[in-house]
Amino acid sequence: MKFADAGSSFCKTFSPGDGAVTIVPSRTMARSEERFDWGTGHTARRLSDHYENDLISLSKGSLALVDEDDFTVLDLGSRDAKLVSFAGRRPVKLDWSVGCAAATGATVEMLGRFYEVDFARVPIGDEWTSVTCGTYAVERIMDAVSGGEDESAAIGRFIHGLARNVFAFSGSPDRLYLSGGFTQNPAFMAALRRYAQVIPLGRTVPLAGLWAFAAERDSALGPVPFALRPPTP
Amino acid sequence: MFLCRLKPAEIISSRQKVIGFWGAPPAHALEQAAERFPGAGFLDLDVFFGAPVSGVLPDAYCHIIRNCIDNALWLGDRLVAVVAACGEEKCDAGRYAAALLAARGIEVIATVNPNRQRTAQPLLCEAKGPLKKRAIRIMESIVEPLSDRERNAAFMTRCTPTVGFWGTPPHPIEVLELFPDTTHIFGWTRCVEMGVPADLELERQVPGDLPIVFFSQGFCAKAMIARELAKQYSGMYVDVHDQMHAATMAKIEAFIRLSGGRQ
Repeated sequence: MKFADAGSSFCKTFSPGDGAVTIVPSRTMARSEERFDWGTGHTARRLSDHYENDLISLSKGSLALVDEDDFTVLDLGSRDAKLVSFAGRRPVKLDWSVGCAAATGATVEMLGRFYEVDFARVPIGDEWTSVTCGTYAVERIMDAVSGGEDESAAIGRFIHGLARNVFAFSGSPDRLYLSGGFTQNPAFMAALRRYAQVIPLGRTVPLAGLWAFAAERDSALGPVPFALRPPTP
Repeated sequence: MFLCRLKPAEIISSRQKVIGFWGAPPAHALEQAAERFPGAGFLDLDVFFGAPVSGVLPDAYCHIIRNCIDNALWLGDRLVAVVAACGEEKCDAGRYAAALLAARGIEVIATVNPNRQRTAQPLLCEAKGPLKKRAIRIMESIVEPLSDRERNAAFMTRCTPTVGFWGTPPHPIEVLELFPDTTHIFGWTRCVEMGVPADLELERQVPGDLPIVFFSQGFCAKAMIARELAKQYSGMYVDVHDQMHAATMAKIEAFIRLSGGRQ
């Protein structure tokens, strides 16, 4: 049995018995003829026998991994943000922001490569750049850098602005579970932690959701395996 | 009085005359129009038929009202009159659209429908079956009421709801295809079936224990009620303008699925 979470940039796959999730660029997956038993993410739709949309797999995975009644999970991907809030383990808010790709993971990653910045060394201070439009925000970074400001400091303000947006999009909770590749960006985590207690769930929540769906049909699968659970702090 | 079953493109290429209407005008106004224009069928101008964009309205405007204007202008001389709902059963935009068409030489019969006497049961709202088909039939019933056979069939297929839809028939109407057959209808569409399109009290009535999608057309004044009710009853508020994006579809699907609404 093979599970796949194939988003815009990366495809994560897992099979029972695997020690870890395999991650490959989605563009290679889109051209392949590989099939999956369970899939999520738009690239996986035509390649999967059982398909669940991104919000459903995220929600199911969140419920499988978080043992609380009331909580909020945000998944920040390369070009979108997805949100699910539960009250009494029932979904009370579902949202999927796809309007502006510029303000999410892909842009931050491209900025980091462009300026050759190590995100572990990006300072997060009190100031932030308004990220109402990511393209304008990137322009401001370039203006600041060409005006002599340190690249890391300018990118830090951008990331801080992004964290503020994400916090507002999440409904400004006291505590926020964070899913997706951004959990591995130390600058973003530091910025978001200025506003809420942030608990990283890693990049495998949608896969954990698919596992949970499959386990409902085949109890022999058992609980969500260690490789799909959040990294220990 | 009868519904014209032709699409506007077919009407334009034929000699068929039609009486347009929007909202839920009172039956007597529709009957009078039918008597004045014998042979002309009624066409619901609220519905999207692919009319060319007239450019009369701003881009950021309710798509239903845009349908009303664009359909009316597209039909040209095939349109003999418009019976326009202009009271609180529609919205202010109904009045404005009526004035705008009248200024372009179209005969507009402005109506209000303040009726508070509930004249029918919510049979289609609570029957089991495709939601889109039921919502369309409710709107058609403004001109062609349900037959005894249809009422009996709806009564016999009453179901326990697993999920609710609140709102007006949406644009695009395909939003309704995401819902299971066991969906009950609330809000303005229910008010129309019960003969009281201006009954705000009924419009705001929903069961407290049912997962409900509260739909609002983009730029519609009903958004404030939809959002408030969604908060109050832990439902999901959805706002759609021109197109139903994949993210909106995913939200509705996820809400229904995770709330146990899909049977």
